[in-house]
Amino acid sequence: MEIFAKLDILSAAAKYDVSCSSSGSNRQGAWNWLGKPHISGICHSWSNDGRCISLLKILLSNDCIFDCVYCVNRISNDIPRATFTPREIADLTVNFYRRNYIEGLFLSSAVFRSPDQTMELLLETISILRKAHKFNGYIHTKAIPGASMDLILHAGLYSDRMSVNVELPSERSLRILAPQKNFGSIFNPINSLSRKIAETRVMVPKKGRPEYFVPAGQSTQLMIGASPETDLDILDFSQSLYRKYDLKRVYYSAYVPVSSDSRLPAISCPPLLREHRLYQADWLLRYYSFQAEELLDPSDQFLSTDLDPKSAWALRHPEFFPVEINTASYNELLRVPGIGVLSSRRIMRERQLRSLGAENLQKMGVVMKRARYFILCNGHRAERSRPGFRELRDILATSRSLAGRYPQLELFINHREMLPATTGRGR
Amino acid sequence: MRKVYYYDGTFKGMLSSVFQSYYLPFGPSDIRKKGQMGNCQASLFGEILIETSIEEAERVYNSIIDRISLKCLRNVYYAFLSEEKGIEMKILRYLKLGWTMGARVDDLLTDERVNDIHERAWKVSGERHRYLGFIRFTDIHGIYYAPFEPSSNILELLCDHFASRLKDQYWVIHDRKRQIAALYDTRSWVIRSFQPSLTPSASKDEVSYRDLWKTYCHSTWIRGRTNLGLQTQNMPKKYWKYLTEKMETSPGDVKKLCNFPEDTLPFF
Repeated sequence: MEIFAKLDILSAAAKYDVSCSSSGSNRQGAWNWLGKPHISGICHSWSNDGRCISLLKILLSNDCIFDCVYCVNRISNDIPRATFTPREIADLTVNFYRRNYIEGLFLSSAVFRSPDQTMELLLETISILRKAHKFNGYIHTKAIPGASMDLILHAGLYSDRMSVNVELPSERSLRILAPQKNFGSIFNPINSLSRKIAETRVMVPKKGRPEYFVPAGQSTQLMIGASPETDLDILDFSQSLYRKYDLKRVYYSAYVPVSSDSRLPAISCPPLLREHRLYQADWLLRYYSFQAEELLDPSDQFLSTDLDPKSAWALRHPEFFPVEINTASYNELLRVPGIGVLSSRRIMRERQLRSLGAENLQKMGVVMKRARYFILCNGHRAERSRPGFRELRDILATSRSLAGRYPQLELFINHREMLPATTGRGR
Repeated sequence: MRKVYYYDGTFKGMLSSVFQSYYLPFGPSDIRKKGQMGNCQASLFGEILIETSIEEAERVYNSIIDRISLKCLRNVYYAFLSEEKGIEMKILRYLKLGWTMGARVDDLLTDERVNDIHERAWKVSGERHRYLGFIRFTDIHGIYYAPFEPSSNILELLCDHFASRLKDQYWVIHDRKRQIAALYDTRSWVIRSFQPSLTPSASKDEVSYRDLWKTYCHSTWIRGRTNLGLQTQNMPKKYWKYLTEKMETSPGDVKKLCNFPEDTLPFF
């Protein structure tokens, strides 16, 4: 098959993997190596869906033996199949890299013939890149669930980042939607990788260059809207992944309907707003020292659609406010709606030199439209009026601005309504 | 009467002007590039032509590092590269404050004198970072050529990055707006003024790799999530001119490969 056709098929098949980042790796190559990763990652382009293109994201093969209901590449789906040879991928990667089209390679694959054989092919591809082409750019490799651990750990020596996609945040959903997979085959590699990463990190190099094993860490992906889990379930699950396995990122992927199977919810468009809210909450977990239990509680397990998770938290916790800008700790500042990581740091720096008034905050990037109701500057309220709960809620609600970014909002099907169908099936 | 300084437009020249400004009781009323020198008002305002002196420039340079901080020097340099009108006086104000406060000057974020410089430096380093991704090389007989038109003079800031990743490649990054180019010969890079004259021809694989890249960009797009607004927000249209994936080319049309106007073709 012609290389154009293969690339067309196998990049289209890989596009539902949302991981895009090329950051976190600062690996030094020898003098005669090609390429170098950038610590904060670089986006090279943006595709028409607004997602960034940083890595050449392709499948080695889409010829799958599994039949996961939610997946385009499932064996029962009638689509054109293609398989790259390792050399073709290596050649493509190097030539794209030399033209500065990409930061590196994101290599995944459907389960082609057997998990072991697939993993071997992935391993061969990246070792050709590293050894024959002396390629030192970023490589993200997918660990194939069910493949032998030796192969997976071996791939870690050539990769900057590895990931195993969990996809479904509960064992039960996995059983229903991906009958050939089980939690063990997914969590064994995650566990082994995280242990090896931690070991290598503390290792002192014997001589010369340090040994690298997945220096940019592990990530995974959860699918949103294909199974009945609530936002609380999902956030709880991500939090435990961060804590237990020290994952760098959990990606959320709004389920794009690719099948009309009765085990899947019938939705007309991906739940993008829900995905957006989960990302916001995920950021609060990782950078704002929030806990999943603080953001949601068992009585209301879904994130609000018209309020961002931090504003929703602030409205539920009036006792925490107002926060005095000139004395609050870093973590307290982070909890104020409208103040982010960057502006908190700026406040911490400048207030050592002089006390800050409301007029200074705007210049530091604080969104005063939201923050003004929650702060004190030298004992003075930044806002004279004291809006009630409902008024404040309306001020903080972002539905209007989001309607532009998520034009399907009117069509958006309430995920609560969608629940019974899938849960009923599972029982 | 307060004088207007004119300098040659180089960073060293600007540092010399900063040095000279301490010889005037109130300092200059403005510092401008030579190109901006007016002719009719010459007699009304005292105009002083500052000669670039390496020694003076170095004294200012070292004094910024010793008495303020390396970060301050970086801010000044980046702000200077923004080539914004009037940036020189802003730099002078910032430096004066810096010399009285030392390294802590950069914590005074909301002071206008500091904020002015930080904002410009931030803008320039942001543009640099974008171009680390948006530079597109075209293989022309083994020489990788990339034209671009940045709004700030960031060419120099890109060179170390590409020299460290594309080590074994001859490459040229051409700032078509300022008619300068960085040339790299697998060992070191230099910046020269650059007006290409000869006709290039792309290597035979070039066209197919460009088409492969376009194929990739097209097939990685999820139709159900189309969001062109978000795309242009992240990648404003002013960058599209030289982006391979946004270029309309018929196969083998070499002139269009690098988006040259018909009459000015490169090279060497």
